Parts: sequence; structure tokens; C-alpha cells
Amino acid sequence: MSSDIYEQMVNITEDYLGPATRRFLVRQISFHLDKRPDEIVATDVPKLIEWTKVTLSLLTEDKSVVDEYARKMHLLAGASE
Amino acid sequence: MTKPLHKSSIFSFITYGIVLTAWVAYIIMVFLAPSNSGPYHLGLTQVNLLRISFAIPILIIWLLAARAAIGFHRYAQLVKGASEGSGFRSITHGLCWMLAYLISISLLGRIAPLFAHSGLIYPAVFVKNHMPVYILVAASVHLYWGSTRLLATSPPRPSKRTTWVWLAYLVFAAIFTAMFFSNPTNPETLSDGIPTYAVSHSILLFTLILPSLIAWALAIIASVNYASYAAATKGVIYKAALRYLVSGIYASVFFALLLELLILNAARLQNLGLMSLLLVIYGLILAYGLGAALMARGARRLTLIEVVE
Repeated sequence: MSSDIYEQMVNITEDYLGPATRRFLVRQISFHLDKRPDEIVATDVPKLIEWTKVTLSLLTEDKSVVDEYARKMHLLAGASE
Repeated sequence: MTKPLHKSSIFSFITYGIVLTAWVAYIIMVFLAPSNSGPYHLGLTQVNLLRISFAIPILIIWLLAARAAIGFHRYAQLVKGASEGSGFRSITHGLCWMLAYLISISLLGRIAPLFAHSGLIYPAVFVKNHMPVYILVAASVHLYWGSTRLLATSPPRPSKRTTWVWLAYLVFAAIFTAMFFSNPTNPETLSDGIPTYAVSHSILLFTLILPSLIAWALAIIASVNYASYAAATKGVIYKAALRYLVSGIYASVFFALLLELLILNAARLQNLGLMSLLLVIYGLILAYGLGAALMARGARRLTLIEVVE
């Protein structure tokens, strides 16, 4: 289940960060949740979304890209509960 | 995280150190050279002001080129273990060779006149003409390798522009070769008593023209490959950062092409007015500066993706 959630997060994030996706997510999960990707549970996703929104805002000036990413991740969080 | 950054700090220190040392050497040689203004009949103060007006943009260009190489070195260190790591490492090597090319053109151009009244003038001119071209070949080879390694990590889309690019290049190569051979027979002496070339045109065809054409062809293929990689790769934010790299490489290749054209037609440029000549030279400096600044920006954005927490 944990790896499913992580892989779904990878699929969504790849549309934004391409080859850098897994490195980015591993870093976010480790730094903000103090976990490994295989330890992620559904309840971690909302907190991770908030942090990745902030981080993505540093990487692009296009707010619509960040909002679109957050929306897709919220759908994932909703589906995982 | 500390190891790649530590290596990058050492690399930055060494690269900027080389640039500043080369520039000091360049300045010394510029002001030691006789103040011959050629056909423009300028006074000593005007000649010195002109020298400074070239020397400062040259330093800026070298620093921008160094910044681009340092930026990509840092990024390549961060993605060393990734599938695209070897591609970015080759880009770094290519940009380092590009910096060496820029420095060699200016420095060797200043060193050759020091042998003006010695038996070494022809070897000095031979090295001055050939070394930058072979350094440019090395830069192009590494940029080409980088592009093929990056393309191998993602399925490329067929590019319809390739045929037109090659046709345009073949036309350019033919015109370039014809222009070269239409120059007066060498050895040709400029107003400062230094021959333009050390050997005949027929030898230069294989030692200078052919390597130049190969370097440009590889650089053009690399540019097209980088554009294909940027188009095929996923990730809107990642692609936006790559676009700076692609634009920067196109601008740098364009600059290198024009610079070589300028050097190989130096005798013809003597017929230009001083203002026209200055416009040409500053235009070239601007072109490369733009290319290097774009590449540095691309490296910075790619690096930010890897370090942001």
C-alpha cells in the first residue's frame, strides 16, 4: 500500500519534474516527514502536499502549475483514504 | 550532499583562478604590445582606451563562460548516479573546453606578435591559428557526446527540421570554404608585419578548414539533439529549465561560427571602418555573453530542483 501511494505520487510529479521526480520526492519525504518512501501512508499525503506546494513555488513562477499539481495530489489523498 | 558541493567549490576556485590569471596575462601582453593602430591612425591614448574597451568585455565573457561551466559541474555532481548524469558530465566538459577556446583565441592572438622578429614567427602563427580550432573540436565532441547520452535516456521524437538544418549547413560550408580560398595567397602579411597563416591554403584545407567544419557540424547536431531531448523529456518545470540550456547552446554555437568566420576573414575586415568593426566585435561578444548567461541560468534552475527541500 505504501509503495502504491509513493508510485502514484511519482506518476503525478513526473509531469512536472521529469527525470528529477524520484530524487525530489525522496528528499521531500525524508526532510519533511522523516520517513522513507516505502513508509508513506495515506495520512501523510496532505502534509506532504503542503510542503511540496511550497517547494514547487520556488521552482516555477507559474502559480497555475503549482495549483494544478496540488489539485492532482489532493485527488490522490482523497482516493487513498 | 556535502561531497558534491565541496568538489564544486574546488572546481569554482580553480576555474575562476584560471580565468583571472589568463586575463592578467592578456592585459599585460595587450599593453606591452606596440601601439600600432593600423589603418585607423589613432593616438596612443585612443589606442589604450580601445584596448581597455575590448579587454573588459573579454573578461566578462570569460567569467560568464566560467559561470556556465561551474553551474553545470555542480549540477552534474548532484545527478552523478542518475541515468542522465553522464550526459550532463559531458556537457560540463564541453563547456570547459569552450572556455579554453575563448581564452586561447585572445591569448594566442597576443602571444604570436611577441615572435614577430624571430625565426619562430611561423610556428607561433601556426599554433595561434590551429590550437583554438582543435580546442573547439574537443568542445564540440563533448557537447555532442552529452547530447547523445541525454537522448539515450528518453525516446526522441523525429525532428522534421533536421534536413533543412543540414542543407543550410552544407550551403554555409561551401560558401565558407570558397571564401577562404578566395583570400589572397599566403603567406599574407597584415600591417603589423605578422603573416596571417604559416602554411599554404592547400594544407590549411585539411588542418584548419576541415576541423572547423567538423566542429561546427558536431555542435549543430548537438544543438538539435538537446532540443529533441528537451521536447521529449517529461516535466514542465524540468523542461523550462532545459530550454535555457538549449537556447544557450544555440547562441554559443552561432557565436563560435561567426567568430571563426571573422578570424578567417581578418584581412577583409581591414577594409571596414573602425565603427563597423567595433559593432561586429561587440555584437559577437554580446551573442556569446547571452548564450553563456542562458546556460548558467539553466544550470541554476536544474540545480535548484535537486537541492530544494
